[in-house]
Amino acid sequence: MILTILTVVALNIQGESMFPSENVLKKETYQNKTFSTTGIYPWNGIRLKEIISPKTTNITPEILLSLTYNASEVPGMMLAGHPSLQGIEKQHTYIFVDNDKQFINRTFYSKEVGNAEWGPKISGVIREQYKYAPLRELLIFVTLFKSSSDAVTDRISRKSKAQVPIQLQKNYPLPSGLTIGDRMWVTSHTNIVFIKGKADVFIVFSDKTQENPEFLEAVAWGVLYRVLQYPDISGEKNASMSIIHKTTNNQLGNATNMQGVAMVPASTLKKLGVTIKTTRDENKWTMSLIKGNRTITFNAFDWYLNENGKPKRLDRPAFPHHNDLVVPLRSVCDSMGIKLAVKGNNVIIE
Amino acid sequence: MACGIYKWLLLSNCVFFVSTAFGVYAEFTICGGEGAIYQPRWGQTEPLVNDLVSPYPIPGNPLVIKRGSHLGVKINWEGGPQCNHWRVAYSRLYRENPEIVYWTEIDDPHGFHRANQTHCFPHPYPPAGVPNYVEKAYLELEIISCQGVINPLTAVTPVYIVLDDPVQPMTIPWITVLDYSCEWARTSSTSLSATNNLTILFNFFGQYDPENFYFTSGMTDFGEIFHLEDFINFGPPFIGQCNDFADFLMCLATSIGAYEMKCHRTWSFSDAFLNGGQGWLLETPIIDPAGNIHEIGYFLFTYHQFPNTYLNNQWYVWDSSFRNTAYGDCLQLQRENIYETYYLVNQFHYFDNYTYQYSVLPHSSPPWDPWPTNGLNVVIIANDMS
Repeated sequence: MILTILTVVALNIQGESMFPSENVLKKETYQNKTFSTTGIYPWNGIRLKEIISPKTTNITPEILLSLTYNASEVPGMMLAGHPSLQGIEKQHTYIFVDNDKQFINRTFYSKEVGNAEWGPKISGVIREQYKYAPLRELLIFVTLFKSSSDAVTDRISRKSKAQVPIQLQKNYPLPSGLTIGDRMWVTSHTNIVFIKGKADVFIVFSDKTQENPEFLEAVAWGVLYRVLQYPDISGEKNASMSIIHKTTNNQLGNATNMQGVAMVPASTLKKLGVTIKTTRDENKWTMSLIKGNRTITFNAFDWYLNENGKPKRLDRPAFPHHNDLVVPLRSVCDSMGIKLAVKGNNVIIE
Repeated sequence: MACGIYKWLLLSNCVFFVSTAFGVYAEFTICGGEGAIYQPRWGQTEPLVNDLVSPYPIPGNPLVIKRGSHLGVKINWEGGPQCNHWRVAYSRLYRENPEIVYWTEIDDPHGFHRANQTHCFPHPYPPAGVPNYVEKAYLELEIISCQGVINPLTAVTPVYIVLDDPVQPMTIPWITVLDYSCEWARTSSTSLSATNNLTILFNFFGQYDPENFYFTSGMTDFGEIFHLEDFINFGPPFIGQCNDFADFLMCLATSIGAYEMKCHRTWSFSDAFLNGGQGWLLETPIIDPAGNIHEIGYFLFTYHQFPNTYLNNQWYVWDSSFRNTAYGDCLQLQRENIYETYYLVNQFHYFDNYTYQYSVLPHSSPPWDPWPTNGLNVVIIANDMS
């Protein structure tokens, strides 16, 4: 409940489109279930369908929203429906809550558009309204099941019934060589599927100018981090770590153990005497951490930080969460000259 | 949309006594028998009776009309005195992006109509009708009757202009489908042009993923249930495997009365490489799957499903799921001689116990055996898959 409230507050702060109010929602009943829904067309880009009777799930639309990025968190991209139609409010988010399954599907498109020649040709001519299609698209689908075995069964079942036989489906390695979640499939350089606990996550990122599998992977790690904030969903009861100051024994904050790497919101480091400077515009989100004569700089969704002009590879990428950038604690502390040790679920700062 | 908001209240002399009110409402009609209006459904819920656009056809609710129809409006009087002087104060048929105004009527050139007369759009008389091609437009309308007694009716009506009578499985076309079919096939006046446009634009906007998503259930060798509402709303963009792409393109084309389309699979499931590890696999040439989930390359399919239509003793295929990198879009391709041989198939491979046995080239029989002979029984429903 507290997490839900915090999420809603955070969404308000960041200007997220809020949910449809009660007066725009309709009731729809079938198969002895009653849903509250926005109906045929989305409201403010969001289509919502939520079971209201009988209701047995604790998953709320707010929780689903918190499992993906919000409107302002992906630099250079915007929440948008597909640029295909006139007169229909474009849907960018679909939130579905039933008792056995819940999902959120979200689409981002780049503000930057492509070359007119890329549009679809009708009798050799590109239609005016489709000439300038977005250069990049990011699709994030997060589906929650009743159990982790349900999530795996559903995914395997889908892949088994697919047109390409499951035995012949490709599986590429990620650029980092790591595996995200409990199970992972990467069937091209533009998509990642992983399962963590009860969550099935499918992410597609395409860029018409270049392949960018590192960005795609960074987005996926960011979604995993969000899933890990909910132990009931991730199944990881011990993902939360305490950051403790060795001398004072004060708790400085919390980290999240993301598959062996402690991740922290960068703002936590203020308690270690680090000064943070953020520059942010539509296309870039950069953070500089300063302590003494050391300065490091990194960008949202980057795998490298800049340490006094030299690039240094991070253990995990930096990614946005709650208006902050989450970073791998050890990589950053090493660069800042801060010593730490991990003991069980505690990170001890010297 | 509730009909009530498009009614006017005809009040007694004492306007405060609402309980003595009685209603009148406007209804669209066809002038002079030129054209047709079709009953649509929203495409939101089952059963059908709860999903029909109703009341229909009235201003404010979506209107589905045949191209070139002469559209009119008349007044239905629900009891009480009838006004012998009503008029259309304003009407405008238009679309956005690109902006086109098909007609504008300012103050009815016909003058006042008598109670039972029909107002035929637009000025100048005789009516020119709605565009003679597929289009999605809007009709702004203001009707004034018994001025000072009945409130003027103002409404904006989405107008879906289709080629001809919608056909199975879209005999009662879905508004959610027409939103796309009328937009993507706009300006088409022939079935060929419309279906080509639908194929090209569905290919452009769709995401073909033969490994992860599908929106069909109850799949048998003779049919399947296509969860159309789920498919449309899951994204957009539209994501699915061949079944979904075939079924949706069929829905698009039939919703505007372009062709009577059927969906076939390359062969019966009994011949397909499935879980038993025995049967045929289809290796495509280098293709460009719709969207960005998969990259250009060749694919191995246990089967492929496609929409086609029977014309002049031949089956012709349209397929939005991929473009052939050598030959382009799959538009009205002779099924056996062109589509199979050049666009879809590089080779067929036979497996037994998951072990490769041998290959044959396309245009061979077997294994190519579009199945079932008369097409799949695709049941379209608005219920969720979950």
